Amino acid sequence: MSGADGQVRAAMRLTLKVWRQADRKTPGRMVTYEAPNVSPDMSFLEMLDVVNEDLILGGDDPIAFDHDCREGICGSCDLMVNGYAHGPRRGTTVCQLHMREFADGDTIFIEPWRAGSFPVIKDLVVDRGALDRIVAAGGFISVPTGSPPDGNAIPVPKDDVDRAMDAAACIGCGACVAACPNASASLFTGSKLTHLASLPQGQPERDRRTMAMVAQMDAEGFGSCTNIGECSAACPKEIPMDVIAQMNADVRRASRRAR
Amino acid sequence: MTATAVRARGARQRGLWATTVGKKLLVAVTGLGWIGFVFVHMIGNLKLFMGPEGHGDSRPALNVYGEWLRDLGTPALPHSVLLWLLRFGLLTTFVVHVVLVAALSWRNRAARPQRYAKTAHVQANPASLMMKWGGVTILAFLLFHLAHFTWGVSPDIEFRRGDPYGNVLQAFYHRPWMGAIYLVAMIALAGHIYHGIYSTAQTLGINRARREQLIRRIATGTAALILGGNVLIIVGATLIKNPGY
Ligand code: HEM
Ligand code: FES
Repeated sequence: MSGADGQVRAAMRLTLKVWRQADRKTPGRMVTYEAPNVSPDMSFLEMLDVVNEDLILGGDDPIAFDHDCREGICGSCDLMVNGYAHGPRRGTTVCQLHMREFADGDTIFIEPWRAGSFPVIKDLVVDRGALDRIVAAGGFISVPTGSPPDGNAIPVPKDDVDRAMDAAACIGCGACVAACPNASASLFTGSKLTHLASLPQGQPERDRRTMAMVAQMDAEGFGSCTNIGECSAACPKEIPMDVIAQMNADVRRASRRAR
Repeated sequence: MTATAVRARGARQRGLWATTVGKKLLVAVTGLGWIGFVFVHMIGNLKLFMGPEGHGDSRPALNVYGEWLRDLGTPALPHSVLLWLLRFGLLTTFVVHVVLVAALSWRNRAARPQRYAKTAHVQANPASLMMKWGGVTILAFLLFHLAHFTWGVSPDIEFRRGDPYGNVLQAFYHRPWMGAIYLVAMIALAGHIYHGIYSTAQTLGINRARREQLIRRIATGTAALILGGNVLIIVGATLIKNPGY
């Protein structure tokens, strides 16, 4: 097989252990598949596509998994690979992970995100609506829409822009919840809050937003943060832990000012 | 309105203490209080090394210090009253810490009803993963330690009220197994303090990316200081018949 650089690389034989579950109600189980002809240049999802083609040709149900852009920007893909959210490579979504990260003969565990708040819909596809509901609780700015405002009409200090942009890099994939030993959504909620709290446009609704989103996060049944840091390490956008500190500080600020 | 929206509205109305963030805040404040206590307690016990006649009279400095603790607040308050108030405060903060931690841990377990077939950690340090079991170790140790030197109900020593110096030497001198028990507990405590300080900086909202290294250093330094001081006491009492003599 020849790669993009024209170099010939040997195909790999892999064993996959994949979570199969027919629907929300039916209990699932791990099923073993052989993938005898995997190119190191394939992406992880392309590898699953090839396995699925064989399954379909053999008359079996293909493995369901979420994906859309396959460019690392949409946040659809969500696989737990060998216990790592999005696989072992840091700062990378699983759609951007390549099979050269693995070696011939490897066994790979592929599981869905595990959290009570992320029920499995089918196989590796989970319902991440809980994250949408946290954002819907207040993760936006209420402004009348119209023609766009003039650029630089509101001056924003560079440090604040940087912090807001770093937090806004969150693609909402849910890897933070999946990787957290407590299944906490603090990094996600903290990113959304820090993004808006760092900008002047986010100030008028800041307190209301903070309390509403944190209350929604709790109501969805996510765990509480013990600052282990696996979330930030698993995050494909490498969002730092301090967005959680910002969320905690803003909760105190909001409740102080509510009195 | 969906069920979660109703629950969220309820939580919003009940405010700070209804949120996991507010509960965690109390865990952090009570934990910090106990770090303060553990530090002062260590300074007090280092007086072991001032020997049996520490202040030039015929009484060990450790015993004089114990008497001073009971005398705190006199003559404004009767003997021992302030000490009892402090003890009550310590007990209350401890109970708040443990009860909230138990409630949050329970919630965290429930948040992942189905475990992974394969788990891995990218960067989690052992201290952060051990908070619960380290905490349980500390709790068990605390009861053992109180039975030993405060309540005097441990059968392994002939407990004499008002003579902590003698009691400590009875318990430790040439009894390395006793030192080993204390050593395990002190290591658990140091790990708990290390991650506890980092976690507190997060919970109180004072951590920022640029302060991360500084806070990690403060956490390491504090944990090492408390571990070092306590190990010195254990080793000293195990090896020396009359430390400081
Ligand atoms: C001398 C005794 C203790 C001290 C000095 C102490 C100190 C602390 C501190 C400073 C924190 C971090 C607070 C936060 O950010 O939430 C903490 C958290 C915690 N403590 Fe303790 N604690 C003590 C006893 C205990 C006991 C007896 C238990 C369990 C029975 C326990 C279990 C926990 C747990 C599970 C956490 C949360 C984990 C985390 O925040 O990462 N602690 N403790
Ligand atoms: S498929 Fe869009 S980020 Fe992976």
